[in-house]
Amino acid sequence: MSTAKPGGEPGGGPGGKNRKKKDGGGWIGCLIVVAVFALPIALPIGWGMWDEGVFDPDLSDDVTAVALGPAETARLAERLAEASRRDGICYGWEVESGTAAPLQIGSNLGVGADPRLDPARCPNWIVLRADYSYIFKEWSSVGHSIEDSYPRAELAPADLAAYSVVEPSEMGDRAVAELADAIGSLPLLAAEAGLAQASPAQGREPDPTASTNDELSSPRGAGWWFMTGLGVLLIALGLLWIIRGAVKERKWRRDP
Amino acid sequence: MKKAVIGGGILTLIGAIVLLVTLTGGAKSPRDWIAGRFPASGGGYQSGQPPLRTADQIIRRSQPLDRAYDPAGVFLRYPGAVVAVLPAAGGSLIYVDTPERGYARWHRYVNGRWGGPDGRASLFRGGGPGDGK
Repeated sequence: MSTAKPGGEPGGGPGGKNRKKKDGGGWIGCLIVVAVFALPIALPIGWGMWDEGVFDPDLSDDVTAVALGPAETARLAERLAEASRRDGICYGWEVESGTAAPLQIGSNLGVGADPRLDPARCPNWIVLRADYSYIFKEWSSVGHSIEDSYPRAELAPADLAAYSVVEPSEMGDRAVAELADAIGSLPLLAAEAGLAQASPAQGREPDPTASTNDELSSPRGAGWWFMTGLGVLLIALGLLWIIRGAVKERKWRRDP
Repeated sequence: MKKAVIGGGILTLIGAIVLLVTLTGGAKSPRDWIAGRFPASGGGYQSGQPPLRTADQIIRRSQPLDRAYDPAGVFLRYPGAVVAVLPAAGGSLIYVDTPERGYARWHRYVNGRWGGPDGRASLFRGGGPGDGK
């Protein structure tokens, strides 16, 4: 049975060309479907590899990188200073970044000031220690411990995980935020252990320290926009495919 | 036409599922749960547990987009709410605000982490030294 249209060339006539074209269209459709399934898998994997520096041979960060930047340590010292004045306890941190960079130490006394070495100003102190393993440009694991000046070790690092302050099994995008959270929660932990009296935050609206263009960041990350765009694109392509098929069908019926 | 309907239909369906999951997935505001779980008190809600335990209950119920632990309290960010859990006599006080109002109200504790000039957060971001790349 020939697919050639009446009056067409036998074998390789217009009907044959149409059939070839239709088969080609089917393959293109299959390729689109495969690409659509592959994109959401391949792109995040590729992005993750780039993000982890797999394609970057420069290892200089391994020598110089520190966990907390100057603005971050200054912020922690300022926040802990307020708590220390209230509680009569010195709060501090000691962070081993796992790189060749020096140990990061700080406290309510300031960046670089170790409360454990200043008994005159800090008869009572609590220090969070974080020890990171750093392999090929990223932290691979962390161990937390809490040192304090009290006869019985009152604060347990396990509490940080128990209260969801840190998630030790994950070293994701919140690794630095978790470090800040662990340090920032020391006064709350001390209050839970009965060592201090926590006092509530003072909400002020507007905050006089805020600049006029100070705004909340967008809660949507790049991943959310990518998936939304992908969904819209797929719907558009699908509808276009159906419309194109309907138009061709109509044309064929009108002009067989 | 049959191929176009099947192929196009599959594409449209996949797109609709991707869009639906993206738009409806993610963090949910715990506003209603907090209102039903804790008694109202002075514009907020009262908890008999200290801030870390109270915040942990809320987090386990509804994972926030972001969080900030400060000596003054625990601050949780959701798509439609900012929740502050503050120490109080006998436990904690919980305040639930819209994101913009919550950011302004607790700015002193969350600025730089959740926002900043032109909406750019600059403090405590990323996964560690070098952060890859």
